[in-house]
Amino acid sequence: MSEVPRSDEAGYRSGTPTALLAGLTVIELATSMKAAYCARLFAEWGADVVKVDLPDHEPRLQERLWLDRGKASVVLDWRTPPGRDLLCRLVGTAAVVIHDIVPGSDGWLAEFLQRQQELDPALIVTNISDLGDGGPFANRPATDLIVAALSGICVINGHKDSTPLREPGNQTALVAALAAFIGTLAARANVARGGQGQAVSVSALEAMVNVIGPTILQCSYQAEAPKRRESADGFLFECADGQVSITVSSQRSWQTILDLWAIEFDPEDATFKTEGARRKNIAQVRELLRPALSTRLRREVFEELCLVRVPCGMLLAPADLPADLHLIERSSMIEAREHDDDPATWLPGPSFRVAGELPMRPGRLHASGEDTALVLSLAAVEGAQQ
Amino acid sequence: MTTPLASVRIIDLTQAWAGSYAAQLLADLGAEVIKVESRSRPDPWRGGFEGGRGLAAYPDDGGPGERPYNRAYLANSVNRNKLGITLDLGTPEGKKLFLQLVATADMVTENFTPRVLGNLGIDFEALRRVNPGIILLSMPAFGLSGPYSEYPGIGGTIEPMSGNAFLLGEAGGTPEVSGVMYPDAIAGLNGAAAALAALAHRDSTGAGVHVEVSQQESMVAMLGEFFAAGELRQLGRRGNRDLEFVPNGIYPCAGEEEWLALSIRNDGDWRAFSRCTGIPRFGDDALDSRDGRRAAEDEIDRLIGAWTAAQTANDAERLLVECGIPVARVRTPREVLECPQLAASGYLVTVPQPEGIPPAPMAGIIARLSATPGDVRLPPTRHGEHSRAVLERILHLDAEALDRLETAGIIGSGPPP
Repeated sequence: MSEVPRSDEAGYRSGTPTALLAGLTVIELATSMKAAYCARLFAEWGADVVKVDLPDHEPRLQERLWLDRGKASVVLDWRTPPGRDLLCRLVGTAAVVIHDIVPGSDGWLAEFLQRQQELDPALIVTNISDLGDGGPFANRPATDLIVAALSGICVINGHKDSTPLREPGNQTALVAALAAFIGTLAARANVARGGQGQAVSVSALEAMVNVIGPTILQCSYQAEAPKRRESADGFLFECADGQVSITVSSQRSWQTILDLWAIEFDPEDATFKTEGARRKNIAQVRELLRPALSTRLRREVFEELCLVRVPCGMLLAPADLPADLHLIERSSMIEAREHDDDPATWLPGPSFRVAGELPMRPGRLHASGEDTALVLSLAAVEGAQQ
Repeated sequence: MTTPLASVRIIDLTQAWAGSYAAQLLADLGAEVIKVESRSRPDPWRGGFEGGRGLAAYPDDGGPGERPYNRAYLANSVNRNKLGITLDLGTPEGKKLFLQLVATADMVTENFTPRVLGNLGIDFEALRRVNPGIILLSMPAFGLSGPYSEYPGIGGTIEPMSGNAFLLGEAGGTPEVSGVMYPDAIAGLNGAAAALAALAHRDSTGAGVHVEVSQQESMVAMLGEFFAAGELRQLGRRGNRDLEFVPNGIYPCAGEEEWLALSIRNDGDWRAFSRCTGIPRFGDDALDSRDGRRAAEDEIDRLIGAWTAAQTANDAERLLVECGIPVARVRTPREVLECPQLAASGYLVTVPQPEGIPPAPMAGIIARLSATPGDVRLPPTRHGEHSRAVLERILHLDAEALDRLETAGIIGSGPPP
C-alpha cells in the first residue's frame, strides 16, 4: 500500500511521528465497526494490535483499508478446542483485549475473558455493546439507526417537514469506539499508577446520550421540547458557487458583517435587532445578505468573514476534501491502496496528532490471516518464558 | 473506591462545548480539573454577565436570575466535577499564579486559536520551562498549522467544512447541519482521547507532549466509511438509508411526531419482517436479496410508511421486537430521561445544579470501569467558585494575599469589581 508523500513544507518537524502507544499489545475480537475502530485508534498510535477473526469472517476490502491497516491479522477458530488454546496463548501476551461480541452470543468467550482477567490482574478487557450488556434492551438486536433513534439525536436532526435523521453513516459505532478508547486508556493510567486491570464496558446508546449531554440537561431546565429546526437550510446561505454557513452569536459579529459588506438597514428594525429575532426572521436575514453573497464565491465569503473573526464555513462535499488547501498543507488525508497498481482511495487521517509533527500514518493492510503463524509462535515463546 | 485518573491534575483553559466537554470526560474519570476563567470574560457558554448573550439559555423557573452566568444550561452541561477559578492571565501576577499551578499539574487543556497562548506568554515551551513533564492538549477549530489555522470555528461552521453537512439530509433534499453543534462533541471525545494517549506516553517515557485536535479533522475522521466506499463524486444525501442494510429508515406512525426506526440487516431479518407485517408485496422472491431490495428501495419505503402510519409507534415497536427485528420507536431527548434501559443500567445521574436550580438528571460516565469507576463528585462549577480554596490549598496563599488578588480583580467570582 502506498500513501501520499509527506509534506515537510508546513513547518513540521521531520522524522517519525511520536507513537504515543508504542509497547502496548492489544487483541481485537471484532464483529462490527465498534471494536474494529477502537482497535484502529490503538494501531494508529503505535500499539501492537492483533486482529483475531474467525475463519468464516468475511470483511469487505474497502472497509478493511479504513479500519484494519497497521494491524496484524490472525485467523483462528475459538469455537474448537485447539483454537481456544491458541487464543488463550495470544491473550496471555496482551495488555488489552477489545471486543464487541454481542452479549449472550458467545458464552465460552465471555467466561474465557473473565478467567483470563483472574489469571492476569493487569489485563484490561473492553467490551463495546450497542445497547448495554444487561437491562431490558440488552438482547434486542440493534444497528446504528436503532441506537441513534433511542438516543434522542434523531428528533433534533433535520427540519420540521423532514423525517428525523441520524448522523450520516455508522457514527454511533464510532462514538462508542472513542468512548471505549477513552475508558481503556483511563484503565491503563490506573495500571500505570499501581492499580490493577479491570473490565471496561461501553454502550453505544449511553455514549450517544453523553454526546448530546447539553440537550439532555436542557430538558430539565426548560419545558419547551428540543425539536427539529424550522427550515432545512437554517445556517446555510447561497453564494455565487455554493453555500456557506454563517454563525452570528453576538451583536458585534452582526454589525461586523453589515459594515464589511456596506449593508444598509435601520439599526432599530426589530427584525434584526437580537439574535433571537434574526433566528426567527431568517428569511429576511437571507434577503438582506443576498446581494452581497450572490456576487461572492464561497471561498471569498469564508475568508472575508473569518478574517474579521465571524465564524463561517464552506459547504464541502467529501470529494472536495482531498483537494482542500488547508487539509493538503496539513497532510490530513491519506491516499491508500492495497496494491501499488490499485486505484487510490482517499481516507481521513488520524483524528488527532502530536503538535508540530506530521499525522501518524497507520501501517500497511495485512492480508487476512497473514500473521497467524508468526504471532502464535511468538505467543508460544513468550508463554514458555513466563 | 478510587477513580482511574484520581492523581491526575489538569489546568483547564477551555471554553464553550468541545474543550469543556473533553475536560469534563476526564474529570468524570477522576481527574482533578481546575477550570480557569477570566474575571472579565467568562466562558461564552455562560452567556455573559448580564444574561441573554449568545446561545445561553436559562431555566424556565427563575430565568437568568441574579447571576445568569451560573444558570446557563449550556455551561452547566459540560462543567461538572471541576473546580472553577478565575485568573487574569493578562496581568503579570495572574500569569505567575497560572504557571505556579502548571508546575503542580499533569496537563493543560485549551481550545483557543493558535496565537493566543503565545500572546499570553504561556505556550508549550513556557509551560515546559516550569514543568518539563507537562502535557498540553490544544483543540483549535482548524488545528495549529495551515492556512485556516487562525480562523474561528464552531460546530455549525465546522460541520459544513468536514463533509458531514453535505451528507446529512434527506435523499434529494438540501444539506443540513445537525440539530446540535455535533462536531463540538466529536472534538471533545477526541480531545479526551488525545489527552489520555499523551498521558500513556508520559507514563511510559516520562516525556511530556503537546497534542492537538483539529475540530475539522476529528469530524472528517467520522466519515471514514464513506471515503472507504469509494466513488466519492457519487456520494450524496441518503436520509437514513445505509450502505449495507436495506431497508433502513425512520417511518411516520399514527399520531403527531411519532416515528419508528427499523433496520433490515440481512435476508433473515427481511423474511421475519415480511411475515410479521403481512404486507403481500414483501413476499415476492425478488426482494429476498439485498440487491433485490436495493432496486425496489423507494417502493419498499413507501409500503413500510403506509404500514406504520396505520398504527402507533409503540404497537409497531412491540410487534417487531417480538419478531427479532432491529427496531425502535424514535425517542425525544425528554423521553431519554425515562428510558428503561438507561434506568436499569443506572446511567443517568441526578446532579445538584448551581444557584438554586433543582437537581437535574444528566448523562452519566461515558465508560464503565469495573474496579475504579468514574463518578460525579461536584455540581457544575460556578464562575470562580473555588478561586480562594484552590489557591490556598495548592499554592498556599494566605487570606491576606487572596484578599488583595480579589480586590485587584485577578481572582473572584462574577464581573470585575
